Amino acid sequence: MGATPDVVASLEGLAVRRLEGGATVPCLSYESVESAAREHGLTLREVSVIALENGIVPLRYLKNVGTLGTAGQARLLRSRVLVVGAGGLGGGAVELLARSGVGAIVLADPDVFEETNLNRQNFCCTDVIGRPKVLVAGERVRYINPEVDVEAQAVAADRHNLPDLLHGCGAAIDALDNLDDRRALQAACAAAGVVMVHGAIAGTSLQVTTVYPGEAGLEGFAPYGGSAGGRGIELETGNPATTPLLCAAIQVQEAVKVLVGEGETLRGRMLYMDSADWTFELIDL
Amino acid sequence: MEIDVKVATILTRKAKPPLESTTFRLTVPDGITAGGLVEMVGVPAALVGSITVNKRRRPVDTVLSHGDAVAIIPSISGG
Repeated sequence: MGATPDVVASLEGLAVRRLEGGATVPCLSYESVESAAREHGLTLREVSVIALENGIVPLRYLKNVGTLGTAGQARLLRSRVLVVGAGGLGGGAVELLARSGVGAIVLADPDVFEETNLNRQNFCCTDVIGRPKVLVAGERVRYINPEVDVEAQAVAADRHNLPDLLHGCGAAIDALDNLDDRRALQAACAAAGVVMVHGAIAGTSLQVTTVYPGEAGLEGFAPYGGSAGGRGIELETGNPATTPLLCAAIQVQEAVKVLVGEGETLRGRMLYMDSADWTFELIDL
Repeated sequence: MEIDVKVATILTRKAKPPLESTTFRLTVPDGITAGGLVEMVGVPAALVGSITVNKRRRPVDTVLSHGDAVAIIPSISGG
């Protein structure tokens, strides 16, 4: 990446001062990021990273950096995350990863949108019924944050392709819908040395845990074997609109902490929550 | 001996017979296991995701002690 003094000087010239959190912060509009990218032959993301590393904040990240810091935001932009599943959890996770400024998202799901997805799946609209979920998600992310690369893979992640899908990733979001596939993802993440953020939903319930390579994670789940096909009680409760986004938000928050390297994660613990009666259980695994 | 039991709301409705409360104290035989307790409260085994004893996930053959707090959490896997 060409962080030459020329580029930095040009970004400083383009920056506008904004009062943020009691301090004056040099900021870049999207138009300025685009023009600097054209002028210096860089990608939008490369411009944002150089800016952040020199204390200049692209406006799209201004409300992130108070929490993440400019170094943390630059780290996210250099990060790559695998999202396995582009349904209720995956769709919500992809949008939040893009708005957080995670630089590259690999998204794997073989399915197309169906009408029954309309109640809860983030990118599912009436005009995209029948279209591959990963392609629609990739198109939407380009509107949300064109600095983010989405690699849309219309495949079912399995033990054969997961090593490639996980290549270069700093975290993987488990947005699958059955325990068998989730366990295969955990095994592949362990082999690849990638942290997995597990999330699952049913009705008004959700659970999240962050699994580091070699840790027990999902091993002790469903001690009686669960229901057929690794499904759970969601077969009876369904999945109403709010729960997937609640769960996806917690998963992305975990992934951001893992990628930035700050904050206390759900490593070795599982959060179980039921919004019907505000049950919160924090369990040691 | 007595055990403090907490059953996730969704599982109280699935128990046979249905449970009236999510939290209750139960008198159980000495030496009962976590799995024995699940059977005693009537929660269908296939719907159990995790059993915790004193906030730590434990296997079904864990022998319980007087005063333990046991939570029964459903198997959820939707995405």
